[in-house]
Amino acid sequence: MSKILSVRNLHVCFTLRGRELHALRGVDLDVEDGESLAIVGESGSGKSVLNKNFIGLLDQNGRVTDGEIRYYGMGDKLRHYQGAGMDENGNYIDLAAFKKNEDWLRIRGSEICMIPQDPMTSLNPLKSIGWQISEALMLHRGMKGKMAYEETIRILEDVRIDDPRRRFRQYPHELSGGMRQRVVIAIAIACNPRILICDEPTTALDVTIQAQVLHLLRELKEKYRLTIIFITHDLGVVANIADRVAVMYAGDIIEIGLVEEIFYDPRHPYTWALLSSLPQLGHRGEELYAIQGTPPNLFQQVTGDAFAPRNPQALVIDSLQAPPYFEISPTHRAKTWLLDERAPSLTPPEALRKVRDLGKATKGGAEDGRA
Amino acid sequence: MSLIKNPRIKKLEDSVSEALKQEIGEKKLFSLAPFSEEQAELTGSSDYSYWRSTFRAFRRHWVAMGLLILLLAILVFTFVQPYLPGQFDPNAITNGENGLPLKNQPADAVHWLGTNSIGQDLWARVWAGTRNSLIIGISVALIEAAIGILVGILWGYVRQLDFLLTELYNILDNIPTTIVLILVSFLLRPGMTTIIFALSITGWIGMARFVRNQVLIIRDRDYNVASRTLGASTWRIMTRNLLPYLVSVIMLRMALSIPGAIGSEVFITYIGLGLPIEVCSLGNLINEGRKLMMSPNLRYQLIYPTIILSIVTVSFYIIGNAFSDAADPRNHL
Amino acid sequence: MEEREVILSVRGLYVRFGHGRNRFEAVKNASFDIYRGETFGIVGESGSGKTTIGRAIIRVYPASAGSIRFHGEEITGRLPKEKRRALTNQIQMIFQDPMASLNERAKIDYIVSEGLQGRGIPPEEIRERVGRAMRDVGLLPEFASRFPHEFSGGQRQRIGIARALVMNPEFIIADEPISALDVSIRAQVLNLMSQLQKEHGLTYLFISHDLSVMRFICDRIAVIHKGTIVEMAETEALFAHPLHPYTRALLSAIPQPNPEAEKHKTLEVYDPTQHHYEINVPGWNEVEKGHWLRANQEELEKALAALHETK
Repeated sequence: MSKILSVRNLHVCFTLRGRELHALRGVDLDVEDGESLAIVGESGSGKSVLNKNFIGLLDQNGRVTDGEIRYYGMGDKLRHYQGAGMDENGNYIDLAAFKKNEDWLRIRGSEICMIPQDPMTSLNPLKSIGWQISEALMLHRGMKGKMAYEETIRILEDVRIDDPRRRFRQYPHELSGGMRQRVVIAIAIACNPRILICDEPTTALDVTIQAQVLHLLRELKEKYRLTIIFITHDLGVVANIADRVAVMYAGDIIEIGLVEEIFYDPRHPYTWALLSSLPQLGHRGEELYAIQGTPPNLFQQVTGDAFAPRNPQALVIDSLQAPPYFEISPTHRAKTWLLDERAPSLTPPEALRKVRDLGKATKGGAEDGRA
Repeated sequence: MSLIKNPRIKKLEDSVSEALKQEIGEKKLFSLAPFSEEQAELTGSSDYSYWRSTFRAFRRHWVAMGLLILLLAILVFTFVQPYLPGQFDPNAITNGENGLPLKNQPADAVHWLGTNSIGQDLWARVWAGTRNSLIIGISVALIEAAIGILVGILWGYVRQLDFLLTELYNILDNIPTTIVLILVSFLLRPGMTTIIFALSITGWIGMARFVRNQVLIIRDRDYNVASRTLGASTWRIMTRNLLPYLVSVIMLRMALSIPGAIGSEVFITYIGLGLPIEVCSLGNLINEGRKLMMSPNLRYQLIYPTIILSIVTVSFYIIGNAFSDAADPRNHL
Repeated sequence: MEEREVILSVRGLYVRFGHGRNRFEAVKNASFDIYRGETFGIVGESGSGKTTIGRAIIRVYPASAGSIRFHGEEITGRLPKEKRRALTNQIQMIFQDPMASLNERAKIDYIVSEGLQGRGIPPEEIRERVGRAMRDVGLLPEFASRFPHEFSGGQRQRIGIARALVMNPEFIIADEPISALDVSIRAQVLNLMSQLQKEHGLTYLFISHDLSVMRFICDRIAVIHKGTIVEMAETEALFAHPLHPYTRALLSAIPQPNPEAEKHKTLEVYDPTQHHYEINVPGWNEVEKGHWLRANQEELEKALAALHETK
């Protein structure tokens, strides 16, 4: 598999009330073509900010202060590419180098598309849903008239909206929340992008609808060979849809690996804490494992490991120097001094063993069933 | 100001870290550090202050800031002016050497803006007029606000009153304000209090409606439902929960109703139902000056009061709008 | 089997909004009991009416029909002022969104003391009770003079809990208290709620859409779908033998933190038209001890058979 997007040492700052907020502090991330990558984090982790950089929707008071976002997905189209940001050898486009909105026009929509969180506000209430999908076809694939109509119907069927010819003429307010989200997905698919970014698309939906939408996204990813970047704070959703998981804390990716590695063999204390505090792993009558305190204030300089003040198992060096990435396997690495050979070996919390056992049980059961 | 370190500083910090590490020794470095729960709680609190951010956002609007200073200067000056040396009484008629009133004199060293058709000093009259017009404008705005806010909050919050007050509003709103103004001015003797009264009784309705709409937006927010479940009285909710939220929008509306009142006064005077001529106001001055509009060398009697009226009116509008933008939390970046 | 004391009893509750053509029935014929000291959960999706039930109990919305009895006394309809006041000291509420449920323009000490104001309680006593409530939820005393915007979501939710606690209630309705919080903060607040329950002998009505949380914290759960309660049982019984198709659909949709399970999961979808209730009207039946199901005759027989098999 080849890389389609490569983030290198990305730093993003916001100017807020006269002070600087250092929202992303040197993010490194490679996204493989055709994979489903989940970025997990809580509020203040920087996951939405990172996301917005991929599509040029950073807030006005924010800017990239260092680093690159290399987009390799244009392939042959690079030969005719006239815009900003291309490197000397013509292999990639650096999205972080874009200064004007016009620079983004060739990327946004046709290469990288985003599904935002709230389907209520992301659809135009004054136009029918069919019109909105056809508009995307017209803008990004140059289709007109009958061809656009037929393609719209086909896409509506793909997103499993029943009776598409009747629904074509309906307005967003006539549809339920789940259907509206499907329409939003349809508009994104219509653009035929390489990368689909989903910014918490199921947070506002009921759990039954959420499950259906996730299933749909998995189907569409296979059918259209998309690369999906999925932003969420819900670990259950991550388990459902991701091939790889990146865990973010205080503006940096602190652990990244295959989804099985993250769930069954996490190494960073924050990932431990995050997984352990899930109610699914608690015993009624006992206390849930809870992380003390709140995430750090990114107006101030962070020295050392950002998670150290909240980590009861922090090492002395954690408050002095930020840890580098330590490799656990070719696909799994984490930024924690605990992985240094000089560090004491600590056992992860009890609850995590339960996750691993559940996983083994399911795998075993599935294999038995198949055998 | 950037948090990306100057490479020299970063090198310095790294070398300090190194030094610390040498001192502490590798074994200790990789041992468990003491953990403080309070430290964990302390990280991450915001220092956002609504009013501080509002004023900061307002300060960035330098046109509005400039006009605010100008307006305050004018306000102060209208009250200070009579006490300065060499000022004439606005109603006193100056007589020339020949004993006859100095009518229609252009601007000179004695009469800084000249005299009007009866021989009164225009400079003094303009400032007296501005003073009275501002008093009218501000009084009307305050009275409108007091009545309008009270009625508006009750109207918006107490569901049982909604139907009654909406009907009342529909009736009152359809009565042309001009007719009310004319009627009141006709029935009561012309004077400052009459005109303030007339303008207030038509103006409070708009403020009430506006406040009611704002209250409808916030009345069912969780914090108000919480107050109800805690048994807070309606009065307490109105004063502690609703009113503080409405302050900024109310101030905006007041800033816009002051020039509105001043303008209405000009209009009433124009149709002859305004202040008596002895009481100086911008309306009176403009009315007098209007009669002389056609003759080029007497036009100044219209121009000077109009300039002041324009400055005051436009300033209030611009300041009011700038303040309303600044008070919107979305602009508090 | 000891007789547990029923603290709240709801029978045939209907809550309707609007008139004429806009008439909307949010809650239909809800009936359940809540026992002293337990955590009773109502789970449903958005628009299911679960929040409406909570607000009807605390009298924010009027009940259109049916009865709600607290300690045997009817609390729907018009009540005299003293009774209303007494109720605020017995039943309190925790709200969902910590950003919207606090008065941004008031200081913390006023917010927490709000229920005690205007009752002739001397200020020293108010201060003392506020201080105690804040300590109980783990807030430092110096926070009292600050404003809500200076605090994080989790801290604000704790302020909301302190506000309810200062009234010394025996019954607290928690309306999605952790849904708006970050994942790592939810555990903090859940632990706090459990701790307070033990310390103060509280009874909770826990309203949520998140079954995983409810499995952890609730003793009994009622499942509500479009205004109607469809099933009610003790937590483990509900998870072990879900009888109503909607309950089964809900359970199959819960995301598990287990990639193996998630990837190979099959979803059950609930189709409301499968019931054919026009032919055979459903009733509210106790299929086994403490396990209630809304079903008509045909479905009831199937459910009993299914239960029998698993035993």
